[in-house]
Amino acid sequence: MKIFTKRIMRLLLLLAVFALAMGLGQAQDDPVRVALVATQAAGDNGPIDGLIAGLDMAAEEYGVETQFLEALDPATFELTLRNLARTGVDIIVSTFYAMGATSWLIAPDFPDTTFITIVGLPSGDEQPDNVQLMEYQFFEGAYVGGVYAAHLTESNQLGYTGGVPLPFAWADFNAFTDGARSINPDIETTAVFIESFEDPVKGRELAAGLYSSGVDFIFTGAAASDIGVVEAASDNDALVMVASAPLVEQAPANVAILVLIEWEKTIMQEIEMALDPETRGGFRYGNVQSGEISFHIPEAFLEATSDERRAKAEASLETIEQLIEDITNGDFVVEEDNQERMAADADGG
Amino acid sequence: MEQFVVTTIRLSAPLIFAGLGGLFSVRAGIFHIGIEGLMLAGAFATVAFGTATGSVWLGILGAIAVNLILSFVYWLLIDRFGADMIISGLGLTTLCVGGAAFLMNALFNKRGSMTSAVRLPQPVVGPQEGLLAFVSELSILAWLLPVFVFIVWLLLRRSRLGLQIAAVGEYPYAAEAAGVDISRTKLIAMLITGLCCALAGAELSVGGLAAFSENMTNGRGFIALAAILFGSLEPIRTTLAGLFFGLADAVGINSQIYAGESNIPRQFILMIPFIATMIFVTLRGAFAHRRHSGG
Repeated sequence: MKIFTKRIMRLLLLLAVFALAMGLGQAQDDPVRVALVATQAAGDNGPIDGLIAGLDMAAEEYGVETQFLEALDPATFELTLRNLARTGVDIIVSTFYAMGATSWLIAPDFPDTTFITIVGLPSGDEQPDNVQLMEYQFFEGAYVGGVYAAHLTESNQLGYTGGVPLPFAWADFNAFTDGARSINPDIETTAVFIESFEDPVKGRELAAGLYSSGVDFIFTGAAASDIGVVEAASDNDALVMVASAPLVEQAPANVAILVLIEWEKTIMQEIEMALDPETRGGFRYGNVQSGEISFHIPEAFLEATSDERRAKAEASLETIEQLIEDITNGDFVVEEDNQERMAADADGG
Repeated sequence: MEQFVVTTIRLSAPLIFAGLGGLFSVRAGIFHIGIEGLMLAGAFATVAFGTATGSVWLGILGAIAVNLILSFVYWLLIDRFGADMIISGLGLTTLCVGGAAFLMNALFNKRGSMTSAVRLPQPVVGPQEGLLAFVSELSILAWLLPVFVFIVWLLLRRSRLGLQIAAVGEYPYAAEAAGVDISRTKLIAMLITGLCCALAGAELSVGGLAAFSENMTNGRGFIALAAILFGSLEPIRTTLAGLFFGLADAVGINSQIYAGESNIPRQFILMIPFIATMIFVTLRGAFAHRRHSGG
């Protein structure tokens, strides 16, 4: 009986050692888990679709295990992040400012998890080591767009249609104005706001109003409302600058330039930084210099537009390329001004 | 000025179609909160059927068919199963919002928004001189709006059906005693609402635009409901209320464009439509009170 018990004990010990070894081995082989939590729905032809594509690329490039979630109700932000962290997700990528503040709040409770927010700002003095934030300097792109628009406008009147008058929208509009006036100081610009990022009907009416007032080139940055603005450009045979590639198909003769945020590149870079303890955490800007804002004059536009406009677009290329190079090298800095300019300020600058 | 008038008509047209459609249900005693959803369903179905068939008219017919089915289901819920009309109406709107997004993805592999292959004809387009400038780029549905208003007025005020609907809404027991089939009358009223909301949705998605995007109604169904209430459940007044809301929106748009780089704070300019609405509501209330007091 004693021998039998000993044998059983040995067997159990052996099994325990084996199980432990298997467990450790598995722990070492476990891929890093990355979750993307989006605060707006997928299918926006914009940020979220770009980030999902980048997440897939990261899975292939870095061998990480990925998952995608939508958290559309701000009341669920904290719970979503906490639950993901509790289930052992190593890197949680979330979107936009409110998520940045939530990550900042709960990060100290989960020191082994990295909380990345794409388009987020520090919300306190001391940033937790495991919080990683970035924001775009899209106004640099707006400045280049303004330079391009100045080459194409005939009426010297440019317009901007935004979603809501937030500081980033003013920064974009002011940079667009500055870019245009760097080529022609007599150019006048008008900003209007749709007061919604998903009202193409009102977007169309605002843009139609701008075009009928003499504007012949609009820079639009109003997400889903942009469809209406592009429609108005098509109806009025006018020009428009957009930040979403699928809009080119809608009006190839009118979408004169695309200024794109390279969301795929951003999420890849953020995950790569989070994987390396040396570069994990911190705050950075995504801009022309980092290659996360790019410019494209669509081939479809050059094919479909009038000879005169094509000639103007091609003539501007040298200036645009030089400007992009100067911004990339740091030889030229686009000033950020995120306040509404009153008439007196505008005259002065 | 011309552009201002065109903008007002274009922004008012969907509100008037939906408002006059909703009037049938509200007069029949159904506070139809699902108008928002029916407008959205109409907008999507027009684009979906229109794109699939290549005909905007088949698109509108498809939208009408979809809205008749949805209205019938809504009637079943509240009339046959005794569901609360407000909760069911909210449910109907939620179903339409989610359903449109789901079907857009499932049928067209598009998410968020999709362009339409068809668009309503516009009898007058491009820059125009004189009176034609006031109607340039209006869709055929917007042109037909006066006829539509007249038909609705005729139906509600001068037809047997209109009287039955009013009786069912105001004095259901008396109507029943007079031999009016209450359920059937409510069903007809709700089907007309569905039909009109399909036209409102079509005007939104293929009237000025040629596209559908999720939530593109952006609360216009609820504004149409407000127009019904402001219009005291009368077709002409509801039309005027719809026109007023469109006008307020157009004022907001034009004041932004023409204020330019003035020293008027942007927040104030954006508030103009809301201030105008509040003044309108107050004045209307004051006049109604005075008239009532005066006997």
